[in-house]
Amino acid sequence: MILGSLLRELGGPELSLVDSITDWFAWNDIKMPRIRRIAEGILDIVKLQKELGDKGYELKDLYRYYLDNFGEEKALEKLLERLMGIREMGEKKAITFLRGYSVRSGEKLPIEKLSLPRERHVQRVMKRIGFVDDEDIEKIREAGCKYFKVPIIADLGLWFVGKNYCYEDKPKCEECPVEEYCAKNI
Amino acid sequence: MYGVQGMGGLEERLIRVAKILEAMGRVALNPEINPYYRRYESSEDVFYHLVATLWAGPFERLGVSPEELKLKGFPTPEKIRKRYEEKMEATNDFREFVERVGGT
Repeated sequence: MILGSLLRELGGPELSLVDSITDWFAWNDIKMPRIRRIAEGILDIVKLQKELGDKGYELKDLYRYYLDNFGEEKALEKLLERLMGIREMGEKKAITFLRGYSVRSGEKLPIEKLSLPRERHVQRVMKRIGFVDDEDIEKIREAGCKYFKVPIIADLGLWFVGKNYCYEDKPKCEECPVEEYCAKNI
Repeated sequence: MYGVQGMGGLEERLIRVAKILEAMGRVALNPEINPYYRRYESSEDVFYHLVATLWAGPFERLGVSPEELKLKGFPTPEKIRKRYEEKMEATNDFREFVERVGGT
């Protein structure tokens, strides 16, 4: 107990690192309310890097490490779980990161197994085009697997349409690239 | 109903639109069109990509790219790790000291 209090007084290693990162942002006039939690997330990334380093892997070997340790069946699931353990990461960001990672790393990560993330633009466009009847995420993921070869690649197209044309209110249908196929025209 | 002529059944229409959306996605991931999707050259690139993912919302609002973060002097992964390890070592020394003098 005494040791715990003393360490807290001293400001333990994690606290000091997070402080140094938040200081860095403050020096650069970047002030965000969630900055501290994101800095803690960066610390978690450093821990992940260290964890891999201790086992003789580099951060770029991320998927290979999970493949070697958990086998083909479980590797992706375990990796996703580990990434979601990073503070402020969450499922959507972890899936998005893995899409970029699989494309850029050249690792044989089974990208086709990544499901559509919970994202409002994507959910809205999936419903409006007619892939699903409502915006329930499970139905959207199921439809994603049914209609797309690689749902997480199509996610970029869905997001682009949702962000730029298919607004919640007053969508710009006349400019939308998939307007002629949209359910509203059928 | 103001249907588009010659579009076929619902299933056929959905498969067609799925192909368009996937093609749009592939274009966005093409490194020649979107330089952000160039291949990783090092573990440091993966680190900055992970940090950028974590910062996705704030980055977008601030208009700061991972490359700019690097240029602005955001500590490199190596520097952060070194500092982390130094601090850990300092804490271990402190822990040993406290244990030696009998405080637990």
